[in-house]
Amino acid sequence: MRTLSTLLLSLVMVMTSTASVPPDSLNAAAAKAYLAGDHATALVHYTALLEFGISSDLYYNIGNCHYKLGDIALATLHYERALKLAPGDEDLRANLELARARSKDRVNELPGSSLLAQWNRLAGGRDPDHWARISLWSVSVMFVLLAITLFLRATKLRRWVRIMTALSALLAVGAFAMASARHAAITDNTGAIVMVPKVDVRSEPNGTSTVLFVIHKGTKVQVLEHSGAWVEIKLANGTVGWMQEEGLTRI
Amino acid sequence: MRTLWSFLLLIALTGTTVGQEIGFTASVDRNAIAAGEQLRLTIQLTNTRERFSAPDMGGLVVVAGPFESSNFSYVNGRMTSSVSRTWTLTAPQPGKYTIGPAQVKVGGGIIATDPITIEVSKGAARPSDPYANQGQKSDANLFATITLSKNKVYVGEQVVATYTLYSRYNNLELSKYELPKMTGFWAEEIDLGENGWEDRPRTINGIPYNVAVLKKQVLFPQKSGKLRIEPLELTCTVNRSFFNRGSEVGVKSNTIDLQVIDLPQPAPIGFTGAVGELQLTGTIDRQQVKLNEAFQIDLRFAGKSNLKLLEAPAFDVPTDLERYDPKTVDKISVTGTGMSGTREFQYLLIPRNEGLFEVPALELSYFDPATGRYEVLRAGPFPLEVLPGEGGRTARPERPAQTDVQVLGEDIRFIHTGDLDLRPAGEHLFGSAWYWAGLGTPALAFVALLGWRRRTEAQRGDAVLMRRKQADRVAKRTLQDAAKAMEAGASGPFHDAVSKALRGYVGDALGLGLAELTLDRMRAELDRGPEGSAIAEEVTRILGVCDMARFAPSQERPDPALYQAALEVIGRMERTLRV
Repeated sequence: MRTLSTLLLSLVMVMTSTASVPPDSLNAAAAKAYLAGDHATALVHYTALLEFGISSDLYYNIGNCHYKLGDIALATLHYERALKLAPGDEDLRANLELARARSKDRVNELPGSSLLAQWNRLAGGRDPDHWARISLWSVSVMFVLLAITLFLRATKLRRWVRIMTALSALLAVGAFAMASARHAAITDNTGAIVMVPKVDVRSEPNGTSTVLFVIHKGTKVQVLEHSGAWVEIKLANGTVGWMQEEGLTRI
Repeated sequence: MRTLWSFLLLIALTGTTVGQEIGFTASVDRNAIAAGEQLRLTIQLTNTRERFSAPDMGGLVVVAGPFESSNFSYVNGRMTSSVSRTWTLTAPQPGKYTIGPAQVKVGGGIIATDPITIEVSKGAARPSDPYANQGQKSDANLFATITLSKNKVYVGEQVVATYTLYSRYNNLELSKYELPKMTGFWAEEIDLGENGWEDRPRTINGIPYNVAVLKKQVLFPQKSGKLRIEPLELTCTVNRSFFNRGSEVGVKSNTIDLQVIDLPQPAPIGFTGAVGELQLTGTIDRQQVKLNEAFQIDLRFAGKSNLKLLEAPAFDVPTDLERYDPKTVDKISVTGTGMSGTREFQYLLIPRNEGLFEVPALELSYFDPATGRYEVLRAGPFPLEVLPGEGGRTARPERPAQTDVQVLGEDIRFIHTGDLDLRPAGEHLFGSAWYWAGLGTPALAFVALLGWRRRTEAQRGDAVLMRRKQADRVAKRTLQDAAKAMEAGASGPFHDAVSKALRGYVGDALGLGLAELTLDRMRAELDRGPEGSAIAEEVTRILGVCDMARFAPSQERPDPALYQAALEVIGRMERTLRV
């Protein structure tokens, strides 16, 4: 309770002062407070930084603050948000693993999805625009090589340049496909975290149907469908049921 | 001379005894008491039977008396009589009291006793019992009370409970008694030694009672709020004697409520749960120790507190020191003032590595109810030098036993402190206008380049290239003329057209003038293996046939085979040149 009130108080203070504080010094102040063990102040600073934009590192740091303050559900939420932007961040994966281990529900992922996660990790990297940039570069290289062939007389060299052109064209197509997949993953907002202590998940979108299972704060779900104030959710293990949307926060 | 002195002395002695001297004295049995205690004042008048008045008691309260007694004695023909009056007095408040002189008139004169000063101190040897009045009301002859040394304590602070029995019966036996159940307390008995009736009776509202302290306990409340102590119940048999079987009397004491206050929150880190007065001394038995040789660190808590509930503190040592569970040595006594003494934790440690170590300082705290604050206790740090053991390293040339890196704790990884690389939410490179522009620009640039190249080529009038590019088309057009002439059966125009088409094509394609169309020259230009040479020969042959027909018209009709050959050789040359 005390931490909450100091948090609110300092939030107000930061709100009034953000206009004049540059993000770099906010970041430095937050890191300093975090290092000194004052996680509440660090959280306030990092939250203020959200005004300037988002990044996986920022979400990661906010997640860390929540974890240190004991709010595992909020920590998980921010880690998941960071994960969407940077699936290849090792620190992030390690912390998310710890946060998941400390939340109440243990949900075993389907066997296929861990392979998918592995692929995401390799392909996703830490930069959301990684593949988009690669596709741009490879298209440029392809056309530059094409232009070079126009001016080449020597037949042997021309053959090599043609092979390079074909390779860069392949790379361009592949990178475009990856970039579009990453874009779909980042803009996908079906993922959500349970933010209430306990939720009954029912077989139908009403309060009288059979309770299929109970999930607790901090569990990640995927939202499949809407029906009024109810949403159909799917757990990582493939279980499906209906719950009220107000208990969820979108990743 | 000597006889004379003896005689005179005898006379004088006899004179005094014969004179029946009157004595008047006041005395007390003690002149220093504690408030609430009693003293006895006796005034004695000897050898006269006059009445005397009571002295001014100077603020002392008369509890009992006066009791009068008289005494006669007749010894060796001499009669002595005395009258004495006795008061039992008490002082309600501490201070200095003076008992005034008592006076008596004897034969025309007045004699007086000396005033007596009484010191009354505060330290009540017997605690006043606030529940005695209440008990007396329930049964004036026999009652019991429970008293506490304090009525308002902190959680964990010690308080002494006393169970007292008051009786006016001469003969009393305790047949059974039941101690109240203590809920919310941790209790420790105080050893009272030989239990029994107190020497002096206590007076409650003027009535003296025989008093026995049945039991004393030190109580440590374990939770906050109002804790109630249920009454003590006992059954006594009174007035039992040889002739009388006595009767049973039930006694029920008062209940008592103890107000227990929570300790202030938040408790500091390292709070041991101890409430009271504590001191901590930490000692290490040596500064230098050999490898694998045990040494000891003692943590000694001393003071007045719930020492028996004190647990061994969590005591971190460097991982290269092996720590054993501590041994607890107690010197704790429980007396009427509560629990006090020392509790010592003896930690045995064995160094498993050489070097300089420091066992970090231990910081603990306890709550002092007197100040209402948490107080800090400190011990250490303990520096330690570990020397090589007996025989040291030479005795064991083999490599030290390796162990896995120990995982001592689990925590999240540290924050990312570098540049956060913030970007507006929902803004992505992929799918943005910039992205499509980035993709389209190289393509457009390439198309523009193609256009520019074509235009500059045309402008530069690169005739050779243009000829080369259009050679095929021009040749095909000319050959169409030849085909028309062939259908018309006109031999001259046919051979003309074939010759023109072939010469034009070869000239355009190889960039040669008409005069340069010799066999050798064509061979040189077309020299790409046997294919080129064959083409050159074929071209020469067709041109020869055409020239023959044009200048020596031997053949009546145009030859379709020649037309086909010309078409074929142009096709072959086109393929050869394209590669």
